[in-house]
Amino acid sequence: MFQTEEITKIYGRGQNTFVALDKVSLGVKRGESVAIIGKSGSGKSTLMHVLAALDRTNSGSISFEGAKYENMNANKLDKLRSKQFGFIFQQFFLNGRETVLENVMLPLKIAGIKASERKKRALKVLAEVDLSDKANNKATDLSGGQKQRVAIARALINEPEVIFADEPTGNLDSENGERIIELLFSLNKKRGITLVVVTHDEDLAARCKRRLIMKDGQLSEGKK
Amino acid sequence: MRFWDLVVTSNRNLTRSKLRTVLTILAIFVGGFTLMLTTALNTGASRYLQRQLGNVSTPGVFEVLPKTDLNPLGSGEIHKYDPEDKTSSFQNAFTSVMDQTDVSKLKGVEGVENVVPFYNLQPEYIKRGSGDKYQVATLSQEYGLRLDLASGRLLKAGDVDSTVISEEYLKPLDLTAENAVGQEVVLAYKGKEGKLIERNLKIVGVMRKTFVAPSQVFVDMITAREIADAQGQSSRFMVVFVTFANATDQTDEKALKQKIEAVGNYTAVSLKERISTFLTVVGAVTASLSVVGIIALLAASFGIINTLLMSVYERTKEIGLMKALGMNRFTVFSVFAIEATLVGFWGSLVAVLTAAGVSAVINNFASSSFLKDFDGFTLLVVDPAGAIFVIALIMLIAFLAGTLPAIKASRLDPIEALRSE
Repeated sequence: MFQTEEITKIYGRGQNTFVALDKVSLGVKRGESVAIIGKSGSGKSTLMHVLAALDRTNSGSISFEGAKYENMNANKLDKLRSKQFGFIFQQFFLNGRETVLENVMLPLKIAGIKASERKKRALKVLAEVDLSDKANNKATDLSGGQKQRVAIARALINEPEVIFADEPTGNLDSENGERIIELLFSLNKKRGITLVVVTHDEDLAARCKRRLIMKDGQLSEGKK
Repeated sequence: MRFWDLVVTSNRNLTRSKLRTVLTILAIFVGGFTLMLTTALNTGASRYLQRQLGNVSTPGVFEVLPKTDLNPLGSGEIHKYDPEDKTSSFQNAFTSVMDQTDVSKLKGVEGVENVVPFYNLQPEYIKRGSGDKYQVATLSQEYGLRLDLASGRLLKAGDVDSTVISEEYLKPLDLTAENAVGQEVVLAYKGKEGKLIERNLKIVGVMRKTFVAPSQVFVDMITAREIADAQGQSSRFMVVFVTFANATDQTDEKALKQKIEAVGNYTAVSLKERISTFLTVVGAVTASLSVVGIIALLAASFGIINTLLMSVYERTKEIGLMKALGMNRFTVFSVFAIEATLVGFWGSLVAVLTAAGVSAVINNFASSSFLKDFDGFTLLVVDPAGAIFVIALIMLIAFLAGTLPAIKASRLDPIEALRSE
C-alpha cells in the first residue's frame, strides 16, 4: 500500500539543520497495523506526517497504491487525505462550540457531500463508536474517552483505507485507552482498515502486527 | 466544499466573537450610510433635473454663438483687425455680435428648417386691465422649448401678440390656471427714444414653475421681432437658434453640431448638452461627498483586516485540522474571504435600510420647509439600483480587505498549525 524509497526530511537551514528522516525505506501492506515507536526527536512523527501527505520530503520517493506523492500537486494530496485517509490526534481537536454530530460531519463537508447524506453517515459512525445518544451534545461536554471516540467516528466517516493515529491514547487513562485500542483494532480486523500509529503506549504498540523503531531519523528495526 | 456550506460556515464563524463582529460591522455601517445618503442625494437631484430639463429640450435645436476666446487675460497678443473674425475679443462673449449675414449663412446648412435670432428684449412691466403693474423677471421669445404647461398650449409659428406666462404671474394678475388662457395682458417696454410702449398680448398658455427659467414671460417670434425693432436691437443679437427638420430623440446631435460649426466660427450647443452640464455639476458635488463615505469605508476595511487577523490567529488549530482533513488552500482562503465579504454585506445592508428610513424622515421635513417651492423635488431617493450598487461596492471593499488574512490562513502549514499553542 505504502512504499518509501530513501526518504529524507531536513528541518532548518545552514548551521541549524536537523535531519528528521535519514534515507528511510519501507513498505506497508494493506490491512497491516503498524506502530511507529521511538524517543521524542527520533523522527517518528515526521515519518507519519510524510506518509500521510501532511508534509513533503526533501528527497526520496513515497507512493500510495502506486501513486507517487512527488508527482502530485497540493490539491491532489488534499484530495487523497480527504478521500482515503482518516486522522486521530492526541489532543482530539474537536470544535467545542459545535455539536458532536457537526464535528463528525466535518470531513464530509470538506469533501463536498450534501447535508442530508452527511447526517445519515455521521449517525451511522456514531453508532459504531457507541455515542448515538451524544449526537446533539456540545463536544466540550464530553469526557476525554468520549471525545476520542468522536474523533474516531470523524476519522471513519469518509470510509478511509488508512487511519493515521498520533498518540491516540496519550491523553487518556488506561481504562479509556484500552477501549480506544479495542475500537481501533476491531476496525482493522473487521474492515481491513490499515492502521499507522505513532505511540509511546506499550499496550498499543504490542497489539500492532508490526513495530517500526525510529532512532535518530533512521529505521533501526522492523524494516521489510 | 459546497459554496453554500462555505457561506453558512463563514457566517457562523462571525458569531463566535459577537462584540468584535458588531464593532467591525458598525465601522462599515458608518461608511455605508454616508455613501448611501450621497447616492440617494445624487439620484434625487438627477431625477428632478431630468424632469425639469428633460421636457424643455427639443431635439434638433441648437443655440449658436460666435466662438470666443474666453480667457479674460487674453492671449497676450494683439491681432490684426478682420471684419469676419468674431473670436478675438473677450468682450464679444457678452455682447451682440451676430447679424443677418450669420442668419443667412446658417440657413444654408443642410437640413436646417429654421433659424431664429434670439433678440435681447428689455421689458418694463406687465399688468392686466387697470390692475397693478408688475416687474417682468425675464422676457424671452419662443424658440422651441417644450415647456411644462399647466394649461393652454405652446406658442407656435404664425402666432402674433401671444404670450405664455409662468404660473407665478397668475396670482398678481388675478388669474388662475383655468381661466387665464384667452385673457389679455399688457406688456410695456421702452422704445429707442425712451418712449414707453404698451402692447396687448393674449395668453395662450400657462407654464409650470421651474427653477431653470423662473418667472418667464414668453412672446411669439413676430412680437419679439417687433419689440426688438422698436428697441433698436433687431440687427444684432447674441444667440441664434437653429432648428433642424425631422429631428427626434434618436438623432445624432453631434453630427448636426459639426455641420453648424463647419460653416463658420461658431459654437453650437444643443439643449440636451445644456442639461448634461447641469447633471455633471450635480454629479461632481455628490461625488465629492461620496469621497467622505469611501474614506470611512477604507478606515473600516482596516478594521476588517484586524478582526480577521485576530480570528486567523485564534483559529490556527482549527485551520490546521481542516487542512489535515483535506481542505485545499483555495477553500481555506474562501472561508475567510467570504467571512470578510459577509461583514461588508451585513454592514451595508443595515446601512442601506437605515439610510432609507432616514431619507424618508428628511424628505418629509424638506418638502415642508426648505424645498417647499420645488414642486416634486424628492431630495433623497434610495432606489434599488443605488442600494444594490452601494452593497456591492462595500462587499467588494470588504472582500479585498479580507484577502490579506485569508491568504495568511491559506498558507498555514497544517502540522505547524496543529502544534501551535
